[in-house]
Amino acid sequence: MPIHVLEDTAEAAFDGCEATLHALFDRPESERCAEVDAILATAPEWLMQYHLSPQRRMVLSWADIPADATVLEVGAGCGAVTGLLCDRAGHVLANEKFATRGEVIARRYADRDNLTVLVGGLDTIMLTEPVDIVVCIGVWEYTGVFLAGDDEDRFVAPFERFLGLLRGLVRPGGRLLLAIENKLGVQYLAGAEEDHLHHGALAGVEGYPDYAGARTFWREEIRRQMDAAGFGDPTFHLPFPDYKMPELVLHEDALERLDVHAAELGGLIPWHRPRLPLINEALLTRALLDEGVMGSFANSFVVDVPA
Amino acid sequence: MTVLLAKSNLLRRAPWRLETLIVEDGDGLHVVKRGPSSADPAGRPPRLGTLAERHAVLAAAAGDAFALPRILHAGERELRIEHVAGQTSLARLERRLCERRFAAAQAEIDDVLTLLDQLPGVLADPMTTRASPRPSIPTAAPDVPASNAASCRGSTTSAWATS
Repeated sequence: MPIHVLEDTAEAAFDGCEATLHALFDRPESERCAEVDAILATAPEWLMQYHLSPQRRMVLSWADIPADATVLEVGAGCGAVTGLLCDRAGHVLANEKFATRGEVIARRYADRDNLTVLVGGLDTIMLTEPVDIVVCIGVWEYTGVFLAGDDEDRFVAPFERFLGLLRGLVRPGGRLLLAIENKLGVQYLAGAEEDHLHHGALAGVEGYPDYAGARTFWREEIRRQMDAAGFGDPTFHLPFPDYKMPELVLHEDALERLDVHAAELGGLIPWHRPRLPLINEALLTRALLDEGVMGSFANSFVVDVPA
Repeated sequence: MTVLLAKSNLLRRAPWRLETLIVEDGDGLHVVKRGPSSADPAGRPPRLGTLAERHAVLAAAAGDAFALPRILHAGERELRIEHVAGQTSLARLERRLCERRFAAAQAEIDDVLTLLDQLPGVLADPMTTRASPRPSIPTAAPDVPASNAASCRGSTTSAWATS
């Protein structure tokens, strides 16, 4: 499988799991699956679950990805969702900023002949022609860290520029599938630690007063930014408990059209995140559902946007 | 075709379990059961076939007592099943399980809140004691006997739970 290095980022190992994953995916395919099952059976720390759990694929397993589509996955990480895309699409370009992670993807999917790994930042990607679908899972929120200019408004401008770059990579009539947390999601209203800051609660709810480059957005902010970047009208899908480890994904219309019961959502809480127990999250979920506004306060969104 | 609902809550422990979708197409709403998107390792049971067989047995046993939703199409990779508005017998069972989990989650939170209420020095009013510049989640509980702090840290809903 080809790996193209677009940018030298050899210094970076992002979360410390990469070396373990290198060793794991160097093992023969026949041993690898059993080893992954064995690791998951021991309830490993969150990061290993995040990289290895097949539950991660649920974030897009419902999505219509044509068999002849070319898909660009921006910020593929260690490839938790890349395998799903390879199963579905005609060709997958997995872009990852960090070389160590690009190497994990290459070893993990060494047997796939429809995958190309591109190592480098989003702004280094040069395509001969735009792709059918761009997939971007859990990346946009860090744009202020990795794509910030020196003399611009870092709170808004990098995020707009990121969407503009994505828009240039997808063909007219194609789609962007983007997963991001909701800054006003139930978990954050209830006191969970802001996932992108790793300190403090309520930061996003209060508008990031100590903003340092990582942030997320509310539903209407996402809609406005997509519009400003030249995308079409987004459809919101709601993953529960969140996009990282979803067990249930609802189309935004499902809350009204299907008989969704509070018990089905209120029991799905991302417990791995530290939290101040300010409120009963399950009961808050029920209240929001009863009021018909749950679609704006889900913990995460998967946004399906036409180009 | 629009996917209104996708569900698979056991992949984490059992990646060969089925995914359930509720989809809408030109014929209206349907339920689709399909195998996982990841490859099935050798030796794992053919769940889709098992489900179809179980459905046939249940339908025969039920007689006129209740109507199971019909299997509209049994393909190699998916079952297409009639969508029944409201609750079927199987959906009712599933909902009972969800309610149990919901109740368990509430009970756990209430237990922790009750515990914290008994430790007035631990959980102060966040509006009056907010640390500067941000309220932070403590990694240890000062001024709390070690045994109490340990019990707090052991709970997933505790303020001191760590990821």
